[in-house]
Amino acid sequence: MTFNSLQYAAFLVAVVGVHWTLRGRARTGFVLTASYVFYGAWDWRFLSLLVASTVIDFVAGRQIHAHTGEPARRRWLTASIVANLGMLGAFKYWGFFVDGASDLTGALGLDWAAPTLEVVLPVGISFYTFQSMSYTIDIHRRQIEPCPSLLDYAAYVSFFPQLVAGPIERASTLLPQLRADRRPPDADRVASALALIGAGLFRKVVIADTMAPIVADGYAPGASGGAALVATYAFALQIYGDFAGYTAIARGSARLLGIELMVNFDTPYGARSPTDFWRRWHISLSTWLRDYLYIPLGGNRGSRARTERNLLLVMLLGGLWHGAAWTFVVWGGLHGLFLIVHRQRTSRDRRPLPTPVAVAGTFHLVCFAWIFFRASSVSEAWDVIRSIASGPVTGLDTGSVALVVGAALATLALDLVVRRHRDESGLVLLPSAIQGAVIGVASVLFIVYSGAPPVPFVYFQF
Amino acid sequence: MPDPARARRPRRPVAFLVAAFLVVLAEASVRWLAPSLPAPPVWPDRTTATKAAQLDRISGSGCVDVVFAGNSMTRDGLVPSVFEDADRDRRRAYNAALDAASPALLDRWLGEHVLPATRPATVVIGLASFDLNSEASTPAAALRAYEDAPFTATGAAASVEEWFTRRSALVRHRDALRQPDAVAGAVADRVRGVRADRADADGIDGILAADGHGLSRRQLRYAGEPAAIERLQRQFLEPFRIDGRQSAALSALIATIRNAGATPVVLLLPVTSDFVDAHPDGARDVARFRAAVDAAVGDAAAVIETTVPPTGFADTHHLNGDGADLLSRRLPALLDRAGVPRARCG
Repeated sequence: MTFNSLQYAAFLVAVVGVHWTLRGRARTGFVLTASYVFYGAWDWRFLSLLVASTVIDFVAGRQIHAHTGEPARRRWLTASIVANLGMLGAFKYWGFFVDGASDLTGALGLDWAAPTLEVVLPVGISFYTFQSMSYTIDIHRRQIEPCPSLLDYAAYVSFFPQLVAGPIERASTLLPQLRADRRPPDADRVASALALIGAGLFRKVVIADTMAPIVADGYAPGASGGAALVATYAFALQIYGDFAGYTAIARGSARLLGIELMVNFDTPYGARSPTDFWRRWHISLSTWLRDYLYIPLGGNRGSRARTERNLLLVMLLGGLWHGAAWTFVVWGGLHGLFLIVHRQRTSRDRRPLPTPVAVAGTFHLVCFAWIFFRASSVSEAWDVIRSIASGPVTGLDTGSVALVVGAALATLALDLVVRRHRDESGLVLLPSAIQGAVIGVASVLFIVYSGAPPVPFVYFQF
Repeated sequence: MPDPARARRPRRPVAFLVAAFLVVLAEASVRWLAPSLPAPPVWPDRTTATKAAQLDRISGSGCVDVVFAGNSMTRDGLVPSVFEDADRDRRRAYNAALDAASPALLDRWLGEHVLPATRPATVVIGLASFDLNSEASTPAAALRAYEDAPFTATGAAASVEEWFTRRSALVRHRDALRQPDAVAGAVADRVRGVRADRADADGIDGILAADGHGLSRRQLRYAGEPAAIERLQRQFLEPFRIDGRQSAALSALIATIRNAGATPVVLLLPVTSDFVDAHPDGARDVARFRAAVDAAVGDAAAVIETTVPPTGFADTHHLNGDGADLLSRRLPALLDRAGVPRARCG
């Protein structure tokens, strides 16, 4: 049941309708049931993992809070982290590390048959394990109190709009909303929620899915330099449209239920530096990594070398969070290097680059790193880079170029609204005639592009 | 910065009027451009689109006495005009066969499109062994394409899509509209008055006649080419398994025809000896097919068969012009011998 399907539309209408007829515990119980139905529609077998993660962290949170002695508190925190990372490791990284160990023993001349584990990656596991872990860590830090109700906590972990691809919400912001006696949204709030959903669908269906075949062509073996170059820009638009579209639909869906989810994107391609980019891209992950990894490692409190080590380590792990493949490690490593170089440059020379140069430079660094993110292997990424270097204008397809330019302009238009009004729901604040023009043009484009074969959300694989 | 979720605004019907105007403007523009845009893929393939146009014409002008249904073997092997000339009552015939059409696909095609448009008295179903092979890949792909195309898909969502596809040029032509090059080319053509090629009832040059029979193999002569046998095995015969699914579909097809008031007749199509040998278990597979047909048909339809000399084949199983003319001339007598009533349509 993807967000861009009729099934989800029917599901959302039904859930929102029933939700506002209920109150108190019944309402929370209904949200939890709907979330489990939503997740079970993907693969009901993995519901047990979601429930296990929920129960473990709920118990661990209470135990951490109940104990005053640090050793016991730390033991329970460790249990929570080991359980979550253990599930993540078993289902997501087992094959990656076993293959690595097998390669290593092979290189050392040892004959070691690696045990294989043929499992399908449970959808959303990277998101809900991080969300659930942040809860026990925050209790350990005494930043929040444990949730007294398993029902409320289960609804927090499994809240369906953000369950499978975020934003990764903190308990301190989402749990109080779920526990509050919410009132039905008024007409303006419904309009702003629908604007978010509409803009999200537009980003996904019209922008991201239109770029997908152009990207596939550019990454096909033997693609021309021009096709590879266009595919590189197209992928930057695809991944942004895909993920920001998902997030907008998630936020709009949650708003219909009276819940505000955090803003996850803030015009990332307008960033003036790699550091600025990570303040604007997948904000819920970058702040998670900052709060639970970078700062505990020492952040920028130690020497320059130590800070740079921390940056690189965090970005490498951030890359690995996306998927168990060397391409993601290289992608994360590249961003780590970009951050380090930018940090060194700004510490030496405080004069900022002219904004157009800084924005264009950052965008192209990000695009370069995306090549590794998109490629199915590091060698494929090098093939794409070699292809671009060998002749970036050979074999340019004017139709593809036109579509990429159109998608870029549409992205820019939406981002201008986001920049001005915090998110896409600012569309409802436009003057009537302009708002009508936007709805009209978007409707026509949606009609035309919704007929294309559906493309799965990119971030569902993480 | 105002919070869009909280800001209070007056209602704005102007926005909806502007939006509606732009959608209507886009629809009108596409309607203007439509004659020069590529044919919309609303049917599974071009021959089906052409036959749909032919059925529209038949429906508007009366009915057809005898309909031929089956896969490409029937399409190429039964010529309505030759049948009409050979028939002493000069019953009017139409060839409704489709590429790689299995009984399951024919049940839908006939039930939803052919029988309502032609209102025939007799339907001749041409069959070959692979029609009951549940493992045949090409008929399975043809059925999938049929079930996915906007005008032949089923289900609530498909019905909604068909409704819009039939009424809105914007929806109907959206495949072409997604390609900037195609749109630019169509605009240039429209300005010059050049119209795009469209499926019409007159058929497709060299491929399909106005009466629905196939033209592409009429000049060919089979000479035992190994590539033809290899292709036949890969697409239709290997693996070969006759189970209840296609037999049930054949029974359902016959019931559909009878429910429409027509008499079904099963014609076991002539094939070459190479075709029989190409089965994994040779003649025994063909015998299993024959037994399955008898079991599926029972007393609900007559089963007829005949042979054609080797010179009448274009490949292992399609008839060429000579073979098709021979079979079509013989068909009235075969129907008479089987006791099929010489009824008229309507």
